[in-house]
Amino acid sequence: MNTVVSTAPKDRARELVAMRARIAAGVRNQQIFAAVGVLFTAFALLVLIAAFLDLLIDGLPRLSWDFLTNFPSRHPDQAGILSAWVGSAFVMLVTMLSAVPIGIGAAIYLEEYAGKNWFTDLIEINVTNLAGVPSIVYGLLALGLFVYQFGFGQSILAAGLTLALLILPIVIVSSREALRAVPIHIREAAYGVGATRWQMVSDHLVPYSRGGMMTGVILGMAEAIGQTAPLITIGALTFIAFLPEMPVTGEFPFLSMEWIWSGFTVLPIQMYNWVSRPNVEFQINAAAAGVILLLMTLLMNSLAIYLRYQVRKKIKW
Amino acid sequence: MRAAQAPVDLHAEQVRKFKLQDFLFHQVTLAFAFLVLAALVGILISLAMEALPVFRESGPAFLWTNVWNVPEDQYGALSAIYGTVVTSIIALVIAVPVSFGIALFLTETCPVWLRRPLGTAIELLAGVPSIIYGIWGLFVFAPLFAAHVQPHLQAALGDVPVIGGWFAGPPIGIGILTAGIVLSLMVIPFVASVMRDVFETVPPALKESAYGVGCTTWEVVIHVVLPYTRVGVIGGIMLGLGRALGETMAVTFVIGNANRIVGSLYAPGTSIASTLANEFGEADPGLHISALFALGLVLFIITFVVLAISRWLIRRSVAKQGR
Repeated sequence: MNTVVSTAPKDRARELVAMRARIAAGVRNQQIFAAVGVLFTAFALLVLIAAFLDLLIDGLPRLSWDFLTNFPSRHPDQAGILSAWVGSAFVMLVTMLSAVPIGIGAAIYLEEYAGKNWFTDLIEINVTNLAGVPSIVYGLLALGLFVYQFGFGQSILAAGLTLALLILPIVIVSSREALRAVPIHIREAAYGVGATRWQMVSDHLVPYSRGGMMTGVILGMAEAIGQTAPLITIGALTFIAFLPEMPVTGEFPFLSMEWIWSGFTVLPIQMYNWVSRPNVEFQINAAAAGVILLLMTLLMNSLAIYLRYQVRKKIKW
Repeated sequence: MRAAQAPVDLHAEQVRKFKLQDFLFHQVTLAFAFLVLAALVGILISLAMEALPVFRESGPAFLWTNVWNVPEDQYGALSAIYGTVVTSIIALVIAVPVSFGIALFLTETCPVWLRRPLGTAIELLAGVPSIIYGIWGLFVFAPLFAAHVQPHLQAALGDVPVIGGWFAGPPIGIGILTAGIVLSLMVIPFVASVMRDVFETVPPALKESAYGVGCTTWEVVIHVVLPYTRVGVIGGIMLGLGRALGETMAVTFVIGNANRIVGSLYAPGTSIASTLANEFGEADPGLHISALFALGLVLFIITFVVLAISRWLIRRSVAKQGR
């Protein structure tokens, strides 16, 4: 700012005019900027909300108890999503049982055990890389590895493990953040009274960071439940008129693992199948299934966001 | 208390048990961490192995050959790569300024009481499954776009040299441009919420000093917020690009699935991910499957390179700032 200070009243008047013009321009920019921001936000929100309203309008009339308890059918008005949501639930179970221990274990290793060396760096870089791998590539991996090599076939097990790999980076990153938020003096206090690392982790770190870890797990599950692409390549079936064998049986030993080998379909795959049919009735079924899928993901994501908010609010070390 | 020796032994016993416990725990968590490494290597190896036959057949020319003829067993990746890159570019051209506006609005000009609900809404939108966007694109957006937007675009821009050709051809609603737009809608909430998080890292003291010397919000954004967060903004855009490149379901429904390259953006095309989703179900074992795996490998490498570049950019600008 090198404004020349002039004494002549004429110059001063001119300066004043110039300065007013500058301020006016600043205010104008400011208004344009605010307007553009509002416009963009409103635009994006409106378009997206319109999309969901449309889905609701198409799908809601089709939603009924029968729709939830019927198998898919050639007749659109009798078709339902029983096998799809049961399949989704079973696949999610496998995903959770494998991704949660592995993700949290890896996070604990990276935060508490790993030294600063090339191996740790390599794993850290790979966690970010895995997060960037397109979901359909996971499907190819699953086909090559789980289906061809391990011989899992087109089963719930293969699908659950595929989705577990897919959400692993989410679980690891959020668990690490949760662990890192626990202050160092808690660790030192535990070591100070003679705890081993395992005792410190299991008695202190994990209980204190449980909220943050849960957030990551729920976010990951919400991501997994909507995934279509990786399950197309491993060959989720689109027409399933049976349920997997139930894990709890009437006779000894009351638990059966047969279900993990069962063929399956999941909600998004069922939708994909219905959308590709020329019959408009089926497309309405797809919209109805979409409403349920959407509600589930919105619910899970809200839960995660709420949990994260609670964790941040509650924790004051 | 029994013999004087006993408590000491008991203690040693317990310490041994603790040591073993800790050792086992260490090894188990190490194994889990190692699994992450194995997963990535596994992806690469399984893709490369399955893709080998097609590369043996046509060599590296697979990458720049523009044929995709299933009955004749001739495969080239060019049309799919073209579609992937062009739809992603369209998506970013739309999504970056819009997300930018949203993120700045949320952090700078939005009334405080509205910030949390709006931010939460954007985050929730980022979690919506992509197949929902795909269905909406196919049933609602594409017909509307064909009837009310495409003809006008064509009338307005069709005669302009160079870009006129982009809007040539019949406005059928399904095509590369539509795919790009649906993709952009999908990416916007994601990029916007990343950018918002980035903008929130600016120390209030910096902004308040700028306001204190009389800056308008606009000037604060241009001279303080953006220089401070440049790194994170680029990172966020790159993450969005990675999403757009690999997105399958939102694109498959609206791109038209034609394995060819036409100059017009109205024309149907294909992308790597949509080709995979469409053809995997009915592909016969042999060269066809191998070609699909090879496409997957190409996609993997493209996204990998994008991620690597974004990390390199981030590191470079951090170094330049001397922080």
